[in-house]
Amino acid sequence: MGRVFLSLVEDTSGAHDLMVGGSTPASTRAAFGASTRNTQENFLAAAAKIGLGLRDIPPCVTFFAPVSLDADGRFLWMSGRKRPGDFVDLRAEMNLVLVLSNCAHPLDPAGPAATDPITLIRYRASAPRQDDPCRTTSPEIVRAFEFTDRLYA
Amino acid sequence: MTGLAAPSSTPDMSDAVYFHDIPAERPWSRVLKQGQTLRIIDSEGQQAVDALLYCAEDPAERYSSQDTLRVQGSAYIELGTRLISNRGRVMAHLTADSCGRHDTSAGCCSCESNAVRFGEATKYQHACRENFILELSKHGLSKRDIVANLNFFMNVPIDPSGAFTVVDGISASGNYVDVTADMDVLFVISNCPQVNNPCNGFNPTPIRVMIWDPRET
Repeated sequence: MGRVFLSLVEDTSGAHDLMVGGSTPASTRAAFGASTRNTQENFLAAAAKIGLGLRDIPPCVTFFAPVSLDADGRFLWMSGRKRPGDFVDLRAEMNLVLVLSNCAHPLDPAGPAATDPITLIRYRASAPRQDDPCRTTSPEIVRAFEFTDRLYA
Repeated sequence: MTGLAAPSSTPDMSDAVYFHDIPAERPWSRVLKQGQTLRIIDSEGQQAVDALLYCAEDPAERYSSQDTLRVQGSAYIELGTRLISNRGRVMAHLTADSCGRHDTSAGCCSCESNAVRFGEATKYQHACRENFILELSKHGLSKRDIVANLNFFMNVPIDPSGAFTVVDGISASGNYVDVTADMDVLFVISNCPQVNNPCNGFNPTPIRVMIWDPRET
């Protein structure tokens, strides 16, 4: 609806994926010969608890998934860009339900072994300043925040 | 990126079981039976064609851009690409392509995204999401069912950092793509009405769709 869900106000990684998506029963079968715990089923279970289902699961973003691509569009995994301790700070710009699945990315050659615990910390963000970079980087972003702020005006 | 000929098995136009000219800016939909081939013809060139696919039997199963790209291992839709559902099944695949490259990353235009990208004055222009909502309503589906779509004949190069731009279409007058159904699919098209970027050469034009059925030729 042309509104802003979240701003990345801190990001030590800079390597997040929007193209390939999370693991699925099919992707784990293809990679390991067996269906293991996977993101699509994690999302389905989480969605069901808030009255949503398969049709409500759109493409996802994967944080800390260093996917790049070559000139022909082939995907590349830039393992050097994945570092322990990396973090992102997400500032909610509207009231949201956030669903997270901690599973190895389908392109991660380490597979399920790459699934270490993650740490979540929720804190009250300070109010954005007039010159907040997330709100002012482009005319498009300025307009998207105008439309978001109208929800709470 | 041109010169890929249709396979010699492509039937004659007179054998088509269906054909229809979709006017500029308009939506269209039809169920493709398993084995049928849909040809989409960019009649006048540089016309983006937004498309969604649903399993006819259970529309909760639908086209998934991320599953399609993951299975393929690359970012563009081209000859041979299998269009994968959110249940990991092959819905259809590209059996001919005289254009060379199509997009599934840039999404479809909407009144809301036009307002963000081009200013609030564009909010009341015609847009693909409105087309999809109208067409899906004929099948008991709604805005909730619109997912990340395909853009045939839309040229969106993606660089190694992931940055992408909608640039001038590479599709010429008469270019076509053939999509053969691997299951019974509801195929939904929005003949894109966007006039604020080059995806339609700033001039939306008609397209033609044709269907062949191997059992009836």
